[in-house]
Amino acid sequence: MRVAQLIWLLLVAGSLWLVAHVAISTDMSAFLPRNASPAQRVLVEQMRSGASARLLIVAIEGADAPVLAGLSRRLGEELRNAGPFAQVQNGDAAATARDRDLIWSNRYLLSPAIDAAHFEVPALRAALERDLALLASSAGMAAKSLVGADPTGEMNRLLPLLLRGAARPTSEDGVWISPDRKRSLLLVESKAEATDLDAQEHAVALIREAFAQLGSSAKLTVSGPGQFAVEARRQMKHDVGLLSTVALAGVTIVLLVAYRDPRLLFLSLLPVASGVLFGFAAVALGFGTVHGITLGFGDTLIGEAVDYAIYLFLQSGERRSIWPTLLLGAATSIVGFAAMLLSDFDGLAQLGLFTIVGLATAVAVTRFILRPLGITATMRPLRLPNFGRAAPIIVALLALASLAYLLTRPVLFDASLHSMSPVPPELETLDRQLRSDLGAPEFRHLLVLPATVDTERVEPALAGLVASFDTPSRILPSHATQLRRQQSLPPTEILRARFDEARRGLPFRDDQFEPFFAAVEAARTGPLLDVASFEGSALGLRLRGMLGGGSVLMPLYGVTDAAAIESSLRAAGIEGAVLVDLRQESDLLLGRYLHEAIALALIGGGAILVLFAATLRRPARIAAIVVPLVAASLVAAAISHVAAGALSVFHLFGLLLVVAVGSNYALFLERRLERDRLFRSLIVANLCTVIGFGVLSISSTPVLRGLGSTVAIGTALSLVFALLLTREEA
Amino acid sequence: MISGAKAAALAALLLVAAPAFAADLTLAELLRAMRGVTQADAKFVERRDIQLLSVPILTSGRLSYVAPDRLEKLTLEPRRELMSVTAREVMIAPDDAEATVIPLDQAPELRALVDGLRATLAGDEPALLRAYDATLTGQQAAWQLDLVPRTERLRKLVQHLHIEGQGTSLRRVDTVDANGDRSAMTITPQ
Repeated sequence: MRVAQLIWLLLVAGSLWLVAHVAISTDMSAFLPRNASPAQRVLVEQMRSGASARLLIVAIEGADAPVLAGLSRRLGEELRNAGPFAQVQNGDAAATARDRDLIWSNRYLLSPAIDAAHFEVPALRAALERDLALLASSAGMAAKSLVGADPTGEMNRLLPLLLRGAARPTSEDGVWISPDRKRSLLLVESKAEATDLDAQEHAVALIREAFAQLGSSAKLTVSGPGQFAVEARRQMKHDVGLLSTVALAGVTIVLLVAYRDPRLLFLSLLPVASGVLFGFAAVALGFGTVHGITLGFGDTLIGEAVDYAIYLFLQSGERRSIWPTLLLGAATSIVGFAAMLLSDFDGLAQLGLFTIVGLATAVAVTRFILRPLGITATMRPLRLPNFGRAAPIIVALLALASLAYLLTRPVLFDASLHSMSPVPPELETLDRQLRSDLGAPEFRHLLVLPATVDTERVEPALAGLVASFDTPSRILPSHATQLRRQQSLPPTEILRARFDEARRGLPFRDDQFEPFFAAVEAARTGPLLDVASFEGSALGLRLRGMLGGGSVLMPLYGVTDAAAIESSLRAAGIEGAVLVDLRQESDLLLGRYLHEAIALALIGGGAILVLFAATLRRPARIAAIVVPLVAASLVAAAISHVAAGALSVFHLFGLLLVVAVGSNYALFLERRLERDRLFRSLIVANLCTVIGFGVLSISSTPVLRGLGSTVAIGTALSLVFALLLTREEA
Repeated sequence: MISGAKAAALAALLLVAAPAFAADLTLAELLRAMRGVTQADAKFVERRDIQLLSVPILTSGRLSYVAPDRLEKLTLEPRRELMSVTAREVMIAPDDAEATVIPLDQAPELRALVDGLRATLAGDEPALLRAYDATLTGQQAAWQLDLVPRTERLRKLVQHLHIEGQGTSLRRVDTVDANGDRSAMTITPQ
């Protein structure tokens, strides 16, 4: 056995071990920059584990409103008893029972009204007079059960705590329903992070199972970030499985026709398979994990790697060695993608490394494993047609028209989340509909404070500047505040004496307020609240959401003037506060992502030019390579823009692939003497690429569709343009 | 000796007249009659005995009903307050404070409570029987309707509703709730 084969076998074994042991991540943070600002870190954290990211909206439709309400109530009960849900809200009072209990039993530590004067005779007298009026009113029947234990009305003061944000969905029989009464709605919060797709999938499946057991003919819809991610993964898996089968079948037929030898077909795939395997292993070693998107896009290097074997088998036997050209072609691609290694985004850097290692492997396997086998396919040379003098003019016109089209577009690049999103638009529309049914306000601003800041001091600074806000101190007052309230509670004997005096002349029976005395005494002598006290409640979940990762996060609703809030906080002497506009941050971040991708693509293009200049030396030769590539890229970009409305990062990646693959065609064709013999090998290579990527363009995932069509069109044009522009010298 | 013909005539008379003064009223008959009422106004005096207080709470005022579902209770003594009930919401507007509106969809227990009275007045049998087991006794001239909530949830609020009436007008509504507190409302039609 040769040394090369031994090394190859050892590397295959090692890589297979890595494939089996390295986690495939689907975490969006790989596509966020490494040196993120604090605001961006907050954004990423919110996307990964923020409460809104873990929220699923469940809708039941297709029956009368009372039936829908009943189904919602029963589904809610089922899900509350199931494990993976932190909370299930549907308006049903049962959903907030635990929270009501917590507030009720801690009302004297939680109520902002508690101070020393609150339990003095005048305040007690005023409270009892209010109670008497309340009892005599029409609401008396409802109020009387509380008066004995809570004569000062603390519970009434604290009830707004139960409202989440400002959401007030319409109801039917006490459970939430859409305003048109066609869908009953539940909000389900999973315990698992939004990016833990297996857990999300399990949660969604559990909801469907629980609903199926209710045996209703109504229709269930689940929506939300977790469901989207699960659906996108399923769709991508399906697409990749189906499309790669179709592509493989197409490539197999082309290669069988070209080679007339099944053995060569198998051998052609060897460099590709090795490239994917070693590329995966290199990313695993370099980054610790391999991102699913890297793997998906990295696999497209098959388009180029399969060419090497085709050139070897179809061109061997020539007078001149194909290797200088093939190596230069591979070097071009590697230099082009090397720029991506510089990326601040792990996702792009992973893609770069994967492609470089994959291509280098494919070349090495072709050179050191396949060539020594000494196999060549027999074929007759084809005569290259001569296109005459009009050809360069046609190419130039097409390229210039495309350039003009691209330069005059108002929106050339779409940097929005939408362009990156693997979610089909109709699912997004449904989600927006359900959210508006719920009247759920989209919170857009987060106030990030150091954990050391007393949020009670922040509240007055926000007054009047926001419609509403949530703060941890409303649910869990500071230790000092709780202690102050506790210390202002009088001992039982004093309280009884004051209460008796306050009651004088009022018709209250004296034995009816024992629950009140007991509750005050319990609060006076009991423990103070901490985060653990709220374990297992919706309040606790809200609390933990705001107290994540060493800082305090306060959702603000209805912010109109961010600058005013910042200056108000500064005036209040609150240090280190950062107001994060989540929408703006995510736009900025994606914009930065796109700009970096464009810059890296330009750097890569520049590096390729330098490489050509260094190896080809003569301007005429350089132009013969570069002109068809530039023309093909421009036309492919224009066609993609027409098809998609705007270019995205993925189109850009596709254009880089066009340059990588297309440069091989131009380089081979540029070797004037043998190009007639090469014609067939280039046609075969290009057919394989067009089939491989063309199939992607019928995918239902927008991202794959954009990439596939760009590469298929671009590489085909590269070959056609290169052919048109190469003329036989007299 | 009464002739055969006379006996037959008397028997026929008895049969025809019987429902008018002797036979028991059925719930369906009562509710059908109630459905014919489009508007009613009355005075009320209410006495509430509750554990918390050593004296009863006495209130009085006016009631008005407009078919099919609008019920207003205007309390004049001791403090003016308007409570209005519709199929969708309850509004309580004290004279000296802001009105509270409770959408009934969000308070199913309150809806059931309200339905006891509202559905009786409107003759809405399905709404009434959804929330209560109803027992009707007496004749048209003096009937008693006893309503007991069907669900445990509702019985925590009200144990028993007792409504008395003459023809299509209500004369008395008694309420007993879970801890034994009771209210008795006496109604005088105008």
